[in-house]
Amino acid sequence: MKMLIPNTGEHVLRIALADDDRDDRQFFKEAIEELSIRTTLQMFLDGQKLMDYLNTPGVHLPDLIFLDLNMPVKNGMQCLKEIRANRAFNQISIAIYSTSSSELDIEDTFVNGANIYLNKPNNFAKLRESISKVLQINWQYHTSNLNRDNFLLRL
Amino acid sequence: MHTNIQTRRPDSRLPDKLALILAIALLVLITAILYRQIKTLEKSSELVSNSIMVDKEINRLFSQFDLMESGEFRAGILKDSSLDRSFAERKLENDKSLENLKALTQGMPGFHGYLTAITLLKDSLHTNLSDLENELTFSPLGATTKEYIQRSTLILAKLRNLKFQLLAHNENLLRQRMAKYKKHTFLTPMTSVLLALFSMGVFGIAYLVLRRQKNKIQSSETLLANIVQSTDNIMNYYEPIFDPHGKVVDFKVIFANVCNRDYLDLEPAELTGKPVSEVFPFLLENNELGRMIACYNENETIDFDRQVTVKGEMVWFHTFIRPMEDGVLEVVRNNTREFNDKENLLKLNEKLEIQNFILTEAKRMASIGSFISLPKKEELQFSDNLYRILDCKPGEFEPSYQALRNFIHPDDLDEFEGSVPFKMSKGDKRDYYFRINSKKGKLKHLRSKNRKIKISGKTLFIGIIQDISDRIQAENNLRLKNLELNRSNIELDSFNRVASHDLQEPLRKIQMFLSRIDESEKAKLSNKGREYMDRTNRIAARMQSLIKNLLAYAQIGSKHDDFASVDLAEVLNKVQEDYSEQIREAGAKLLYQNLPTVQGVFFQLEQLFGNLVSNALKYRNPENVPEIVLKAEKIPGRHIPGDFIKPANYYYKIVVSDNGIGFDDRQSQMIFELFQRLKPMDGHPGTGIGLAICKKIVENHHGFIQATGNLGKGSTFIIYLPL
Repeated sequence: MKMLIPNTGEHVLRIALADDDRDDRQFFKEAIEELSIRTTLQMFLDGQKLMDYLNTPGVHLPDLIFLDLNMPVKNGMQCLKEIRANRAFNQISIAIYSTSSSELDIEDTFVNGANIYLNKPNNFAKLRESISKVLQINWQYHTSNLNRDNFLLRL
Repeated sequence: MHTNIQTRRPDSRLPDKLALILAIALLVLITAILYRQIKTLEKSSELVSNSIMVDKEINRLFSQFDLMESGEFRAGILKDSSLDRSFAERKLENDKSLENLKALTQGMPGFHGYLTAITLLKDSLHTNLSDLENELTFSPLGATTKEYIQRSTLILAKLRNLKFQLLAHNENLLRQRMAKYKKHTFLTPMTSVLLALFSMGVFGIAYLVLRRQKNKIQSSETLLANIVQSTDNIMNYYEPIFDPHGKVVDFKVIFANVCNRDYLDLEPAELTGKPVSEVFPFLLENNELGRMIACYNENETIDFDRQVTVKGEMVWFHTFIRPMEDGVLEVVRNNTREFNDKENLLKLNEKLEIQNFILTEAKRMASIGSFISLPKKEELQFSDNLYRILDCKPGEFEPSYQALRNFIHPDDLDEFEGSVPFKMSKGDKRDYYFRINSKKGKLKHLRSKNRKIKISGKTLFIGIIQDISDRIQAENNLRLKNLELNRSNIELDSFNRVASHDLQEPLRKIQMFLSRIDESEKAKLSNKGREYMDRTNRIAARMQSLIKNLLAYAQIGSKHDDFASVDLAEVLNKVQEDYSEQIREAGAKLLYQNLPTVQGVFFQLEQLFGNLVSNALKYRNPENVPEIVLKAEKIPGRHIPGDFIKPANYYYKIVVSDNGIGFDDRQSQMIFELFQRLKPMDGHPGTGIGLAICKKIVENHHGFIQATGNLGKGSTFIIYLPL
């Protein structure tokens, strides 16, 4: 996995977001824009659209995908499984971004290879902070030390 | 109670009596014979003496004749005048002597002839001599005198001749009599000796017989005494005591055997001679003395049972009273054991009847029928209830497998055939299930169980058949209900999802937008607008906590597979950590020690105690330093107040008490209901779900929670968790 060094002028972090909710997409976009991290953001309306994009030959794969779980056509869980099943995508870090705080969902996504789990907050400041934290994670280090306790992002 | 016991009489000893009579008769006979013998002897001697007297009398008579003649001659010669007197005297004597002789020989044979001849000769002699005398008086001795003398001499000669004949006859007779006498004198002593010997013999035999008899009596008496003393029955003999009017009023103990000591603790020797009413006072209790008197008076045998207290123990006696000779014999048997056995048997029988009744009723209630089958035979017995299961009247048809087969559902015939006992082989199963179409056409489900039993060496097959239609029906219903429940559970799950996701989603976005406005647009709002903003924020937060709590409430599952040993001290540590801010803020004290380890789910218990602590902090009394105290103890389940089922034997009683504002104790039940709030919203924020969650968690842990309140003083929550 490529080492991501945040906040450097050289690297532009490629981020993708798959979320069917327009408002959430907007909050996410605004929050990212308010951060002083250089990023590019691509947004998809459902899981299928994300997968289609990823499977497009010669596409520039994102470094980090924020994946909503509840989506029409293809939900986040399916996407996660497909991505982790494809060796071509094994450089991509996946952050689950969901309203659900159900233990079941957390457990399942952890088992299926997600890198971090964050709940959609009810406060914009919190959202900004969460995204900022995720973006600043040293993934190589994080992944090697990943366990169920630090899987769920806590502020 | 009178028994038919014939009065026994002593054996009549007929042979003995006969022997005695015979002996006496014999002795009388012997005496009579002896008497007759002596009499004969006496008579014989009399006859001899009579013959001697006759001899003497004959001689005297004839000597008188001689004397008369010679006197006549002398007078004739001497011419003596004194002759007259002498002759007359002699004549008289002569007659007298002859009369004597006649008298003596009266009844004797042969004498009469002689005596008649003698009388005639005597008379002619007397005449002759008288004539001679006259001749002599008037004339001297002449021819006539000579003639007279010659004639006299002739007569005398004749007389002499007669005399000799008579004497010879008498001697002959005497000789005969003497011989007879001699014989008798010889026979009589002989007979006497013989008779004496015979008598001695009779007495000897009598003595021997008597002695043997006596010995026999003696030994049988000893035997009887031994029996009487060694029997395990009380045997007492009483004689009546009469009052002055001759009425029997009591009995005197004449004999008492040793059993009196064994059974009644009374010394036999001390009983003897005393009235029974004094030594056996219990006889007066049931008027038994009266019955004894009646028994004596009417010569009737009676028997009865009675209970007597001996040495503090109740003993049953069977008493048997029989009049005997001049008193009554009482035989008492200790039949306590028999009586108890009888009583036990009766009780057992009673129990058995009850058991049987219960079994019959139970069979009817549980729809259980049965049949008994002899092995290898088509012989069957059906219970009444088996007929009822088939919707038939008991005994409606002859019991047979064929008859039973007609009821079996066509699909289950194989199963039924397998259940027929005599077709069974060793390894076969013993439980069967088949359906029947009853007489009324009802489909019934039957379960059959066959058992082999051995009763007094006979092998029997017992078939128990139960109508399990109701159970099958209930099972089907249950299965349907389960399906329904599963469906509604799934529905509930999706509702949970809705609540957790779909309800939270819009709210979250509202809050997001509010935060956006708060952050970037607040400055542009008026004061009022800002206030509305704050209020909207609070309402949104409240709504969020409501949804969260409701979700938490719904998620307390009924799954127990995640139960583990949980140390409540650890739980409380966690709670203290979770609420450290609020505790610090309120300046409260959370005190706990010696908390037990229970079986449960850690995070649920955390929620439970967290809610209670949070409640106590929320409803604290501003006048006090808030104090939350937890105590625990182990108690038996039956000590938990309240009328409900407490399945475990022992519980931990955990008491959480605070010194807050408390509540009205009348509301202690309502407090645990969902959305129930006892306090107004102002100043006491709450959703009304917290305690409902507590209750659900406790119940999920098979425990109970109770609350008591004291308005203004504090609340106490008591949690019972099974060990």
